Amino acid sequence: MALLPKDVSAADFSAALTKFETAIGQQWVFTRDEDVALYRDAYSPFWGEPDERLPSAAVAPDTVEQVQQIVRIANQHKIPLYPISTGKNLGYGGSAPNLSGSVVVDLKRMNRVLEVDDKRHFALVEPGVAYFDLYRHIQEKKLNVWIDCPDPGWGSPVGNSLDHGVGYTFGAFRDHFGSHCGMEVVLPNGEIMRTGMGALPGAKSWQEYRYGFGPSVDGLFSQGNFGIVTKMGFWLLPQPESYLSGIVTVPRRRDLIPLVEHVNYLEDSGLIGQPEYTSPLGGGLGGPPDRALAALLSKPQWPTDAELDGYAQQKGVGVWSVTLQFYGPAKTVQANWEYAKERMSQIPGAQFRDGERYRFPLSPEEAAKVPHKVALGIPNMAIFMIGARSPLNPTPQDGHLWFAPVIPRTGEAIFEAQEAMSKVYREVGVNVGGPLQLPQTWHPRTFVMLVGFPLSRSDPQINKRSREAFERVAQVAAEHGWGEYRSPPAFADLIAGLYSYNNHALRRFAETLKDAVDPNGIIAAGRGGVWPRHLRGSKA
Amino acid sequence: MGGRREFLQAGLAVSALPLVQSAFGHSGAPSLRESRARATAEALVALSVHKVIFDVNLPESRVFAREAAQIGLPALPFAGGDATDLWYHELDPLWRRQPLAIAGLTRFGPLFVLERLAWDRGMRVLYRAEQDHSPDQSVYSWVIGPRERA
Repeated sequence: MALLPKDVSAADFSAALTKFETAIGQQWVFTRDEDVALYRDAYSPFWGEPDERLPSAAVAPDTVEQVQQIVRIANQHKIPLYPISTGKNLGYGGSAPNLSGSVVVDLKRMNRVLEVDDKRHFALVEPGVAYFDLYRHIQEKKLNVWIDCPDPGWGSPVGNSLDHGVGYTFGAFRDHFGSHCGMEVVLPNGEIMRTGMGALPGAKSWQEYRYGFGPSVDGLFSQGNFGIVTKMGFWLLPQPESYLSGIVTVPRRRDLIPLVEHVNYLEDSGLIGQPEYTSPLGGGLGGPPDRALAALLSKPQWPTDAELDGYAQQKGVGVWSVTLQFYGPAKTVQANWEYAKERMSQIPGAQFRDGERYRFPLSPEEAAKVPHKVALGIPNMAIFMIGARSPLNPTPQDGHLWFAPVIPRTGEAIFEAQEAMSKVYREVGVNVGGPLQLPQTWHPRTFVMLVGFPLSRSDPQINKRSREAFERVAQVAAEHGWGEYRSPPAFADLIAGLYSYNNHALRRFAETLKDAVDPNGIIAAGRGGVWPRHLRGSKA
Repeated sequence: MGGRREFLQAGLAVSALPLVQSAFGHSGAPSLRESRARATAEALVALSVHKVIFDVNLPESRVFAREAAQIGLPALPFAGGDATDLWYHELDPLWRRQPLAIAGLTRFGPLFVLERLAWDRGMRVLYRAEQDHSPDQSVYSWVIGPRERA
């Protein structure tokens, strides 16, 4: 046993482990190095260095009652706990705790799909249910609903939503925390609480009316440390009759501004699902190398808009494209696509192309051939092939550190973000496309200018450079009013510190709550940048 | 248990050689090749390996599947390194029913994914070895089985 929780004696730790074993069974208390190592963050930016966040042990309860026992034992011995659902959010911390020495509470065995209603369109699941599990349940029972899943789809709806994870269909569903409805939580004192209508004994609408009565506290448990969520409800999308995608291409760089405005209108009117912006020029973003374009983009000063427009014209392509996705009755999606074309024809030179078309349900063979499966709520792990070694990628990285600043949903904001953050990216040699960088559109009302800084398990200098770049670009972003929506534990304090309005009033409020609700500070110390009183200041 | 693990590791490390060599036409003398094939069989049998996984795009992995078949082990193909179908249609249903060991010769990516998914079903990597023999890819031989066998 190499690692002990901070300020916990070996005797106390040993006594706690023995009690954990009595509570949940010896085989579900993991203390051997090779087992505990599985809870390391596979993409840790401090891999193998003293500052890497490491757990001391892990426990895997099977029931809510076992979770309660674990929490009570932890209180007796002041053992810090770090709950995970399936711990798969690589690039944002995986299953590693904010506080080294924490005992991971691995909820993987609590993997029961408790209810799926395909008339009222909701599900109630335990935290160990993976997207694959919920998808399988729906498929096997031929239920008339879809899930909205992230990419890759190996995580869990509970864990992903609690970390503000996102998906790929309609805005109301791809904001995963936004589509939750009702929670059951084991509080730091071991009590069970239900939120929303769940607080009413015998409630008939726990998964349908989110607010119940009185203060709504659900948000405290997302990116928070006020309890362990043991059940969670989610609204589901009724299976649509059909799907149609259409691609719109515009010829000039400045056309991005009206393009985004039109797409915003379509999305906020409920006519389309997730829009996906790309540049037909590629810009080195995974497409085949284009030496002439690379030379243009690597000039000390970026190419002018006229130069880029001219290059696109010479290549016979546009500067930007957006894929629009329509879900619904076949007649409706076709009509909506026609409307989008009519509306977006206001952009001079805009071109339109039909994309994919499906009618549901798909057969397994048809589903297997769908190229962008998550757009149809089909979980998969094909994304792990992107980083594989290949002639185009001869030295694959071992992982990445996501930097995910939220910016306004306008073309102007995209240009400003490109300009403001590009200097840091250039210095660390990360190619994000320069004046062709585009945002992620997972969140229905904002853009995320996502960048993955490279990480290595064999070269600490790469990690050091990425950490430094992360810190600098986070600062640059904050100076422009852009904050991160999610962060690995190693940067939680940095990011929380940037949300500093009125002398950190938000964090101080959370700390006041933390001290009242979790006086021993046993639940996920440091998560979201909120530390218990005894660790505040000293941190990990 | 350490002795058992060392035995298995030694057996599999030896066994990987003929697989790789035969894939590239360096299979050695027949007697040597036979003895190595026996080592493969002994190691897989000792671990009670239920099936083997092979990547249809890797020549050495296809050889691995053929040799496994010679000792009566069924081989599951998967293409392109995406482990989705393998997990969803084969391994997850299998491990929900029974914690059986599987062996594979794949690239790093599928192993990375399968190791984490297997842990969710109480299984873990019992053995792994990198067979880095090609300039553009690393290939690993591995066994995933019930944690209590580790």
